[in-house]
Amino acid sequence: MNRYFDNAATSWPKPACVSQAVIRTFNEAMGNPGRSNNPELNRLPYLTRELLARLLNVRDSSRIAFGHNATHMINIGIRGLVQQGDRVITSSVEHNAVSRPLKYLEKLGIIQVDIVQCSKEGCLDPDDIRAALKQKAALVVINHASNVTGAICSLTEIGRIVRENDSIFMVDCAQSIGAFSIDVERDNIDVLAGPGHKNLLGPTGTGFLYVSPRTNPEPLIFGGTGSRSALDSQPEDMPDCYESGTQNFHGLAGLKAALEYIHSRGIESITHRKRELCRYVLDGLLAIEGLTLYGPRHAENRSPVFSITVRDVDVADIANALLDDHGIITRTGLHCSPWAHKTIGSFPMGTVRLSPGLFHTDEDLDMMLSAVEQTVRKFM
Amino acid sequence: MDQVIVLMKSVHQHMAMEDRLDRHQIRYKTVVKPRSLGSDCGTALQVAPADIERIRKLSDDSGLTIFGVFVRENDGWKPMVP
Repeated sequence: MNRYFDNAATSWPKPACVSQAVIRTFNEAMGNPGRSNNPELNRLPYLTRELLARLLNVRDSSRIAFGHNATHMINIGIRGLVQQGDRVITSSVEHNAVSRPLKYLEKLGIIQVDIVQCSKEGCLDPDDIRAALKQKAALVVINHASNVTGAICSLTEIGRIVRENDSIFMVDCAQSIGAFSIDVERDNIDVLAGPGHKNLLGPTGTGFLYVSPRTNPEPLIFGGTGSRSALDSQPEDMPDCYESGTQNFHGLAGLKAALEYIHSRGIESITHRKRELCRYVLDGLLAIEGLTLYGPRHAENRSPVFSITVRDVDVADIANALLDDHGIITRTGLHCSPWAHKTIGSFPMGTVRLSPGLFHTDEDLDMMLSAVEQTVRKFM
Repeated sequence: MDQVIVLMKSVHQHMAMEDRLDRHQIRYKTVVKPRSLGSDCGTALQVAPADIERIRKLSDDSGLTIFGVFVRENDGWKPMVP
């Protein structure tokens, strides 16, 4: 039985090919990509970029840079894009990865942040973005799927609205990349940041940033890139401009293997399974008396991330009971998303979050649902 | 292989060109970029002189930028004039 239900934090298990690729690179790869003259190793970042570009419908894979994680790449996007006096629009369900850099820049007096309120289910209405854009904004930054409620917004619709209003559209796809279709052309995305270790099934310590030719964020970190070494200035070419310092190429080897796995299985097939997971768990949780479930009630509007509470019981007690009595691993509290919890009414206690993964079987889900039911009954 | 090298605009473009050369079965060898052509710690493509025009066309067709083509003469690397 797979008792790990915290895939929104990081996915587990990973396909076997991922750890094999990491170990092989550790043991056999000699050198440092872009610096050493080991041809096979030098190709690793390029080939990983190509696989990711294919997943996102990015025409030129050089527009994708790699970094440590989604937060790192979001910071490059936000801090590199805004200028003094800019107005930035975001939503009320953003992760601290987005809210903190925005509020920091606002505190410095550099930008003005306007927060579009989402519904009690955590859903973002594209018309509210349209209304907010009646006043000019330099940047609109939102997440694709909430790490608290699982609510998914319509990137296609919002992207069209943002483009019509001539703003830059930046998306945090931490909870959706690798699970749901993202097409930077169709969705008019200018900047996209995500992690390699969640639904992409790669190792931690990997993240990516896509930057469209429409924009050009300033780098956040300056230093050696293995290119234009004679210059005192940072190279302007992507991806070099955002990749100073030795890259996590062991992690990239794992991410490459994970992307190959995703392509071989097919993103449509993965999305199909994610929707099945949503329906199954949604139906199961809604049937449990005494449990409060947050987020959208329809599987089509959400990812398999489920936040629950039981009356006013401390969520830590629920999580401890799930672990002690059933061995189930969850995550409790505010999930680094206090805005989202304020939006859905679960602040400051937070919730217990259950996030099944791609490799859970229906038997695993039945076990989890039964454990949740027993735990709720225990506290009634 | 004769001593002709192609320098691409960036490491990424070098790798992208390797892909194109593989696809078109054009022989090449990735070598360390000669120091006299700049102090980058980058790489260069060593190719046959007879393939240069095909490589230039491939580059144009793919939207890649060749930084320079150089031939080794007795007194060092010289730009190869198209």
